[in-house]
Amino acid sequence: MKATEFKERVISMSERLYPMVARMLGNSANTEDAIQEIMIKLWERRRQIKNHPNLPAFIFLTARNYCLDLIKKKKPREDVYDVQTQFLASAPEHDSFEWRELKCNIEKVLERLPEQQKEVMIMRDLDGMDFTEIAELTKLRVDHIRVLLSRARQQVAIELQKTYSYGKGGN
Amino acid sequence: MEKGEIKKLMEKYAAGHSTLEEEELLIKNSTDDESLETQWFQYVKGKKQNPRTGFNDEIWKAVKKKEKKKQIRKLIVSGMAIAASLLFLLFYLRPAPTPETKSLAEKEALLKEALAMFENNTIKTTNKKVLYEDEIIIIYSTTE
Repeated sequence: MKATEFKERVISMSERLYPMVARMLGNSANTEDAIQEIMIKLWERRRQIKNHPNLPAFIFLTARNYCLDLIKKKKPREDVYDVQTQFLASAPEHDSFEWRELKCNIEKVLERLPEQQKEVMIMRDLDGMDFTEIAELTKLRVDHIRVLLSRARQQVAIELQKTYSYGKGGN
Repeated sequence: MEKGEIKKLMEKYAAGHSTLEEEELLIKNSTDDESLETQWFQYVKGKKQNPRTGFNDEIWKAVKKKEKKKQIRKLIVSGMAIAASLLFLLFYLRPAPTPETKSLAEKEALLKEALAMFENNTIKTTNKKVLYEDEIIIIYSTTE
């Protein structure tokens, strides 16, 4: 793969990777360094990846594995490491009371979702991944992913309905 | 964006059939605080971190810079390897030192110089009487 092709097909994915890497690493400086390292790794392997059937998905997979490795190296813990918890623990920059309340409510709702539904919903809505990319990462079929996503979205709506109805006095 | 259009998109969204662009549009237009989906979109908006503009170009520059550094390092290492190989070859393939040869005249001069050293100790042959002489030995008598 030549430099121009690499720039068009791989480097152009940097901005798309950003939300996922930022969410996983929780720090913008770390995110930029991580994406730079991921791109350097891909550049070194440009000959092998040239003919990959789903290059964007492969790039997402590489980035996710890189972040998981970083998390494991930097935070050795004796208990079982829950990646999803780390996913949800990465705090945004907002600090208003309304935001904290909303965040707390939604994260409680997400925690109650089945694992696959939660994973698919995070990948789609927070990381902005395409269905084929999610399929490559989760090893699920696209139609199955659509079903999981639909169920997750509906479940979130129901759970939020419950939370806010309770908050409004059961109306 | 019209309400009817948003409603349609929301249905697609709930069914998992909306595209990424449509979802982006929904998140951007999520201003109705009463809607439950809006809560989710507000959460996504707050949680999602986006890169600054020109991020792709910055990454590309960084990759190129690293690649250049790597090439320079590679060049230095290969240069050093070539130099080391040349030194090794020069050491082992250098010509053997040739023995110093002198011309006949030089040799003669040296011999004369050497003989001059013994001039005082040489026996004067004036009163010499040869008793025996062959190729190897000369026996003679003198009056001294």
